[in-house]
Amino acid sequence: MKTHHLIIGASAGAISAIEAIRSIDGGRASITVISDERPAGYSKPMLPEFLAGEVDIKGILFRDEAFWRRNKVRLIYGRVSELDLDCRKAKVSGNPSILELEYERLLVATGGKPIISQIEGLENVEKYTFTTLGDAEGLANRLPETSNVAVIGGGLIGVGLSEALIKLGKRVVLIELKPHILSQVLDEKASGILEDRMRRAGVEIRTGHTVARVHWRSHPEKPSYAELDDGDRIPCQQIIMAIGVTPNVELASKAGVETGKGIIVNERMETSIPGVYACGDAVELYDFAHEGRRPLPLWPVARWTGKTAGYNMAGSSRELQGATSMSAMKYFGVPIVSVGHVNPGSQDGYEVEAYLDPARRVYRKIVIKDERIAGFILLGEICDAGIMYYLMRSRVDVRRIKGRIPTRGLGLAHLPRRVRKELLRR
Amino acid sequence: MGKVYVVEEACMGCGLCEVYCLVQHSSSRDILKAYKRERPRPISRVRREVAHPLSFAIQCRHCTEAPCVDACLTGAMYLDEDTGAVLHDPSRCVGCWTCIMVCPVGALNMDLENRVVAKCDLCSLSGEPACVANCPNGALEYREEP
Ligand SMILES: Cc1cc2nc3c(=O)[nH]c(=O)nc-3n(C[C@H](O)[C@H](O)[C@H](O)COP(=O)(O)OP(=O)(O)OC[C@H]3O[C@@H](n4cnc5c(N)ncnc54)[C@H](O)[C@@H]3O)c2cc1C
Ligand code: SF4
Repeated sequence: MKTHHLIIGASAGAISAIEAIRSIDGGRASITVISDERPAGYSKPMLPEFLAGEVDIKGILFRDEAFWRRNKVRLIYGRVSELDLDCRKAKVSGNPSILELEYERLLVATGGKPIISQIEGLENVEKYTFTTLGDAEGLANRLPETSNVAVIGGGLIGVGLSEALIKLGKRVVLIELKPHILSQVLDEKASGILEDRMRRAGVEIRTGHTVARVHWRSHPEKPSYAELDDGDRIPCQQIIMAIGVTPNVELASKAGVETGKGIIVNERMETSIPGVYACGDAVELYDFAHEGRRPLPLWPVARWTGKTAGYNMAGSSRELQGATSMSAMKYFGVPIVSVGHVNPGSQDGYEVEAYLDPARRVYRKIVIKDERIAGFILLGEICDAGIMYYLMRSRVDVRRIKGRIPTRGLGLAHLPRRVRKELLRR
Repeated sequence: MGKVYVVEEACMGCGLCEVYCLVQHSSSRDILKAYKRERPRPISRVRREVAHPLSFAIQCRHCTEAPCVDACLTGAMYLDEDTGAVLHDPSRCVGCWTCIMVCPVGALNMDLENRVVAKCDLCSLSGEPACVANCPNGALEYREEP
């Protein structure tokens, strides 16, 4: 069987590529998508809402079933087990049969997979990650017999999961190795405010600790527990490891695509092999705020890289000049936006302006390098985040306005005239 | 589809655009009830900016290739294919604020009571939007081109 575009994965990256291809080819080229998750096209960031019962399986779909039909996509549920890049062939194992597909252009949109750290005793735990709909459904099924959950990892997934569990009335202990939760995207002050809010909502937070071993017993009379590195025992009926994701590169790298931490792509999302593209959580990108290449496993980044890949696959040249880490959060009702380089520490050349108003629960900080914004954290008051991100991306000189940003906020009225006129004319 | 453009020189910063936008997006459509009684509170989708002597009103630019549509985690923010307007479906919004993070003009508001985003819907394209129709100074214009 032959297809023009073959896409592996059916999530943010794949959907964006399909939309880009169809926006210019009028439905001409054949597109085949292989997904080993069912249903295709759901939103992973909504998994906590799904677990909490706030959205159902229909509500979690980012694009519904009609999307695939409308875009004339052949969607096959199965798993690509082997790629032959020289002959442009892919082997798909599905049930019941094995399928061989020939393609012209290939998009590797295989996403990420959860990082697992080896903990003694964890081998006995049946299911302990939270990155797929299957994980969420499995956990939801086990929750009726669960009153206590230990969550390992205070990153975006761990905190979001904790919130869902609290909504369901469970007791949650969140264990984080670093001195503060969300240490990759927040600083001490911001995470302190959130931690405070979480504790009041009932989450027990154990920072500076890790789980040394897990004692897991299927027998309910002998309770299971997680043992911390200081010997403390945390009784729990479920344990979830949420210490991050890493690019899912094995399939591509085995086939000969160049990889680092993620699949290596250029500005057009082409890999080292002609005709082979990659996007989303599977790739590493140039992070313009941290000034280095790294995976940026974020929904908007997956959408932008997927779109760029799609345009180029359809023959229209488009470039994406890097990206940066960017997270918007609403956990436990505290609005927070974090973009770029937010913890320069004593690194040379960085300047920090910050403002804290504990009474109104507002904290705002910008990090500046060469009079350009390199990163920022906004907590409580976030509505000007997008203007700041725009100034950051367009490298606008902020020396005359940086003083007001943390305290009084930013509007278009404060921008250089040229920038303001440009934005008002959009 | 038209868009709302600002005439900076004509704007006095009176804020009536905000008032009429809020009323238009209230359930009573009554100015007193909208301000005093309605719960959840209706929210204006236009923002008046004043930095003397400059003042103007700003609302969603309905960008082509809108960053908010690309970034939205749920599909709540979408491009209306028929009109070209960027619209928002609150029933699909989870209030994650990702769209706010990428809006270059800061046009998206937080509806904290409903935990969703509130944005300009061009008064859902039933002619001249309320902010334009009620500006006493002609500082807002509804037209096709910048
Ligand atoms: C719980 C959770 C919460 C999150 N919250 C946020 C958030 O608030 N904000 C944010 O920006 N991001 C968030 N993310 C991250 C976001 O979901 C990802 O960045 C995004 O889903 C990446 O999209 P993708 O298309 O690259 O890959 P993925 O969404 O990972 O999809 C890849 C798909 O490809 C399939 N696949 C892999 N290999 C094969 C194969 N060989 N054959 C067939 N199919 C294959 C996978 O099973 C998967 O279905 C969250 C993620 C999780 C898990
Ligand atoms: S706040 Fe609502 S519209 Fe905005 S990105 Fe989140 S889900 Fe989408």
